[in-house]
Amino acid sequence: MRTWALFGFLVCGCATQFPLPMTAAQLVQYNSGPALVAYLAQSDASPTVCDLRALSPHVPRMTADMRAALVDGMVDGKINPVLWRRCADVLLERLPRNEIPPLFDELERAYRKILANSDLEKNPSVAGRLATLHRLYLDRPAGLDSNPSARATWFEDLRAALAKGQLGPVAAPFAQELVATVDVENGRWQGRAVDAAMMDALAASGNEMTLTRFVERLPSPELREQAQRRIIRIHIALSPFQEVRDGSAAVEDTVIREGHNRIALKEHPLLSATLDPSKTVARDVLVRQRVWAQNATLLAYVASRSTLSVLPEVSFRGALWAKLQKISRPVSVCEHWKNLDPSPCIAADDVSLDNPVAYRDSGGDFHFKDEVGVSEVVALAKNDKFVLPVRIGGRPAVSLNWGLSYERPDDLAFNETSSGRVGPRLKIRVQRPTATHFVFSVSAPQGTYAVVVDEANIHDFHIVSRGAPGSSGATGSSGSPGAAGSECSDGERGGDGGAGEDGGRGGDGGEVFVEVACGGASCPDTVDLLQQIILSVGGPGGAGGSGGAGGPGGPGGSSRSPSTHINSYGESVTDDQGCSAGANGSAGSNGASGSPGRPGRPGKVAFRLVPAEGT
Amino acid sequence: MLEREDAAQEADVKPLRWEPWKGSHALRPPKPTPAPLAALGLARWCAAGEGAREARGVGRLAGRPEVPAGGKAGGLPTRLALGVLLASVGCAMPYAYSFHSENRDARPSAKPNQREVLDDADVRAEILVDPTDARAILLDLTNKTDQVLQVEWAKITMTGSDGSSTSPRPHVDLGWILPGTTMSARLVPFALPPSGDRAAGYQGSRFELVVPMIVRREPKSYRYSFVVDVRPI
Repeated sequence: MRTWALFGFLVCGCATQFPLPMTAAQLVQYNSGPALVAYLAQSDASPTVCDLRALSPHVPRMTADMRAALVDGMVDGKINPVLWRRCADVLLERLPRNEIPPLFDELERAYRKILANSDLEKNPSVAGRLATLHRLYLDRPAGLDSNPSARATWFEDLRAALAKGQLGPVAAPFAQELVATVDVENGRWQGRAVDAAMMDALAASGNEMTLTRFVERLPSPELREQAQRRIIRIHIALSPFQEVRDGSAAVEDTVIREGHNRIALKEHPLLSATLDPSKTVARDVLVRQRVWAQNATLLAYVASRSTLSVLPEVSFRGALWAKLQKISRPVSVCEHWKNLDPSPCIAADDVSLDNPVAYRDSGGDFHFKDEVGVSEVVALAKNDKFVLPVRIGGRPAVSLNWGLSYERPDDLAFNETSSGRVGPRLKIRVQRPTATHFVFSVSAPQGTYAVVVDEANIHDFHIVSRGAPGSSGATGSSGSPGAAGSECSDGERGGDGGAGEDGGRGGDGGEVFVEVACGGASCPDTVDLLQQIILSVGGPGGAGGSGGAGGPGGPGGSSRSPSTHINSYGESVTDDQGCSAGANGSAGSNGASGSPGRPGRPGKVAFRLVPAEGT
Repeated sequence: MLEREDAAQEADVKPLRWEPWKGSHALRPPKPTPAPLAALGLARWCAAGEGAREARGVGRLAGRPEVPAGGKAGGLPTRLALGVLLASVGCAMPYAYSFHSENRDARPSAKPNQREVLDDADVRAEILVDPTDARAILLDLTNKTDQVLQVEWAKITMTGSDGSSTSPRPHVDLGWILPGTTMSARLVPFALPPSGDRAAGYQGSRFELVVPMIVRREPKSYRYSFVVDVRPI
């Protein structure tokens, strides 16, 4: 079978198709290069699946198959370059050192491929992909690179191509910048050794571009730190915070030491906070429940997009702004240390989200579990919205409210299967934590099941205790075969079949006891509604047994040939005329079929009003 | 950032190919591939499209078709016949792009090849988008404030209405702009197809150049919107 599947794959050359949307947990199950590409090609996909040490589901290791697929996925335009870059960055941070050169070899292969693509000179998307690879290579952490021999050949080729003018106007600047970067790695820039005086001159002209090259590529940590300090000085000079400019030396040291200028919230308590809507991600959440497995997948949708996708990550950097006591301007969450931002800021771990499925990753961004258990499904139903209350330093700050809906779940139908037996006895508790959600908790002999149903879907959802079908009636006995006819005589008629047995009575529906906590909703209306969807149903009667088949008629007797003899005169004399064969006997009649059994009766469904939990 | 895919890529004439993955020995133009047109003496005519375009001034903003230097335009029947022949053999039609600012306060360029001027109280921007010849965006920024103005040169983006996005950067490293001074940047790369259906497809499309700056110590994104006029030349 597998051989045929492989053969088919090779013949049609088809790419592997995956059901979408694919959650991070599903990606981990697939654990292949094509699956990684399919996941990252989705809207709102999270690059943390590339983080080998992430708390959230992630690829267990970066195999050669995944490495090649990941690089090709971006080069072929399947993965958004920005998302791809974030994935590549986290890989460079987390991969074991011995796996870095093969990754760079793969990137180099892709770089050469795009550089040789004639479309590079006329298609901005192709140029954008090359720029993504290019920046990743230039911005890589110090000490990480491809295999030295491969790198040497690559740069030799680049220099030769530049010298011979073989690169077009788009390709050439990329190659020139790569070659120039090698000089920085050797401590030189534009023919001069890089020193403090050169860096001071660059800082005086606000030239962050060159200083950033120095931070990323200079050979010694000391020189790199000197470049960092010059960038911080530029940022301090441009800072709108008076207190930053006034305390420039201390701020510079803080940023060098910690990567940012974190504010101690004990000394500067929160006064108020706002969210910048233009920088705040907003989605609606759909809960897809699997009622029998008692788990669910959380998916996201937006009105502007016709397809469901995975839940996005949420970053509050530049989106959440807080006024703090004794700080002159609103501050946001600290930027990545690479930005060397001296602005006072709130440390990422001072921000929390009160949501049962949200968690913060090591980089300070928030993610959501997309595969959740039933307790989380029920907990979410306590609000009409998918509420994301934000706390800063433990204090309530602002709240994000996304839409929340539950896809209509499968009916909870508890069917007795032993013929004629009464349906399962159910105890159901119904709560209406909000006007839009019904939460059912059903205790049945086989276990307890919880399910949330949106008011919009409530009429299409049912909880049923169903009696077992009645037993089927036995088939009537078959008629006996007719006796065979003797020679020349007919066979006898077969015996009639016996009557089929009547079907058994269906089992009655089980008793159902329903406790209803109406919450804020009208109790009579709620109970009326529940009476239509919580049912106890008798099992159908068993089918009547078929009548027995009539017996076949007996076979007719055999024929007899005439007999003659020759007398003394030589004449033929007939001694016996003989006879023809007897006819077969007719078949017996089939027996009458049994009557179907009576259906079971509905069981009792009793409703009782109870106070809502917590009241 | 979405990627624009165009199935019609193959229609364009391929330039000389550099194939570095084959090693340094392969750094030479590829051998011409045999083509049925060669027998008609047309392959060279088509392949020379890029050079011929430059000779004719093609790619200049709103440029008009010109007779190649020293050449004859040919009579109408000749040109018609050539046109029919070209159409039949699939030579791609060359086009010129003009980017016109859609910003309210923009001063459109008086002539092709001149920059559009966009002004506010703090910054004056003069922009010429040349996606076929220079394959760059030429941007002059004047700081009208009394403080230094920092441009986040590495974060400039050019986004098309089709979702394609690219991040052109200055071809040399630049710093901040002193009060009252102008800084010129040649932002590379920014290239669009010079010919064929893909070029024609850009007619009426829109691009937005986003230039993040720090003006008077406040981060600010300047958004310059353009509508594209594509004309055959």
